Amino acid sequence: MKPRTPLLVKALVAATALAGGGIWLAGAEQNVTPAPPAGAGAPAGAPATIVTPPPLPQGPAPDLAIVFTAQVVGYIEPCG
Amino acid sequence: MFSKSYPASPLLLVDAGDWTGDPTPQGGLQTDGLIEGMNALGYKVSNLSLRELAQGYDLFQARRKKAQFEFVSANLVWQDTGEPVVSPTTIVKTSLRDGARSKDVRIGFIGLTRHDPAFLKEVPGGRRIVTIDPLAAAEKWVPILKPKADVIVALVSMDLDKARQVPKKARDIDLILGGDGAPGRTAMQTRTDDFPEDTQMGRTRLMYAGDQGKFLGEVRLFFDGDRKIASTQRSVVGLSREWPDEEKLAALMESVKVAINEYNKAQTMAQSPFAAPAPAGAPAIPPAGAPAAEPTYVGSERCAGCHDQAFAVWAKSGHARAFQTLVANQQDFNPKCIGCHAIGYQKRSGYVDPKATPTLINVGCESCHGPGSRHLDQPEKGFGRTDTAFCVSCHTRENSPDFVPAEYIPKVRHWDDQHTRR
Repeated sequence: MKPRTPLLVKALVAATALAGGGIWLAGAEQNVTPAPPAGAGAPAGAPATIVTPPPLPQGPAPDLAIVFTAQVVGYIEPCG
Repeated sequence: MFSKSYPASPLLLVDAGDWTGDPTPQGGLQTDGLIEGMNALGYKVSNLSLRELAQGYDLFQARRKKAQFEFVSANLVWQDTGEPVVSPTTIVKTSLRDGARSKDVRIGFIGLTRHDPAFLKEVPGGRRIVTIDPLAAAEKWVPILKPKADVIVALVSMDLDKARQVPKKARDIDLILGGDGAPGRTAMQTRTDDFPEDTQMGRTRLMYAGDQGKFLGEVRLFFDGDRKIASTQRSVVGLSREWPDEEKLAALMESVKVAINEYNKAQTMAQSPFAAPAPAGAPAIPPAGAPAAEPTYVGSERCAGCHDQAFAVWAKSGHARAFQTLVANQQDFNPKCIGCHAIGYQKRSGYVDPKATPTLINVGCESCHGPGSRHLDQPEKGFGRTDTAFCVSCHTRENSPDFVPAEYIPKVRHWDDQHTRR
């Protein structure tokens, strides 16, 4: 079982993507985590983390988007 | 990619209610963390539902002060006056995308939750909060909301069948957005994330997304020149791990998770047989090997003497390290997680805590085959028959999204189909 990350956190990213808030790399087909500056983060040679987000539905620019959650029941994330 | 396509489309975040955690200290930590997260996300409105009041009106009020979004409910009312406990409706005025046929709109929200005749919350001072029929509440409040709003949205937390009746009583609702909150309705067969609801009923579009925040329901709205909805485009966005995290919120949620685990750890260890000497008169823990009416758990090591081949397969498998997954993820004292990462948790003679029952951490022989003490004393064929169908009791879509039986089962295979030694 691979670790997963808090869903509310993903909600922000998805919502921001829906809102056009700029978390997505504009125009990129894949969202690639930028390499850390030299001397920071993962050791040299560590494979780059590549996250491929699922595609959002395409269509004309909406005048407004309403995004909703339901039945969160305190849920934060799965076990691991 | 979306930001490039739709840089100017405003977004309105709302919740259909029942987002509050369980009425426990751990649930309280979750709830407080969620409020902080919802504030950061910019939620505007939440339906007030029964979970939000589960720990009483006073605590709800304290949390309400922290929330930077508004609560609405038309059918949680004071028993003595019949007046709603919070505002039944609210209006959010929002601008539209540049280039839209209207400049701005007034979105009217109404909150509706399930009617539970057994629900009754007494407030200090003697007043009581009860639910009333959501259909009657909608019938009363939607006409009042109509002249003030260009679009009417009902945020609902109720049985889907009930939600389908709402448009019959309140035809002016444009959107019903919700989740199914009835006890027992979140089982696999009826989860609305398995079968997202998206139906048109007259002018009303009814949309249900899944539960536990794993999905976002999204409605893209297109308006005509009279501020009325011309068309919609809808989707349910599954928040799978492919979505990247936002750093600040990730840190917040991590701190909530760690706080809960630490709380659980303190509670568990305080109750552990190793926590303190047993007080005089306390019942003694049965000594190992004491005769028991029912078989007890013995730990996987005890199986190795006879089942060396099976033990070797197990030792190399992920099952033998399953508990470490929880430790690494700060969930090793989460009661909701331990059952699938240790042997016999919450069962007689099963896992208690890492100190009291160190041989019962991880998924072991007895996780699938049952407690082995009797088999150890009297080895017999046919013990512990099980089936690979049992795997899915833990390898759920939520916790084991990559689980593919054809790929996973060979990793733990220690039996011969023709001469089954299960």
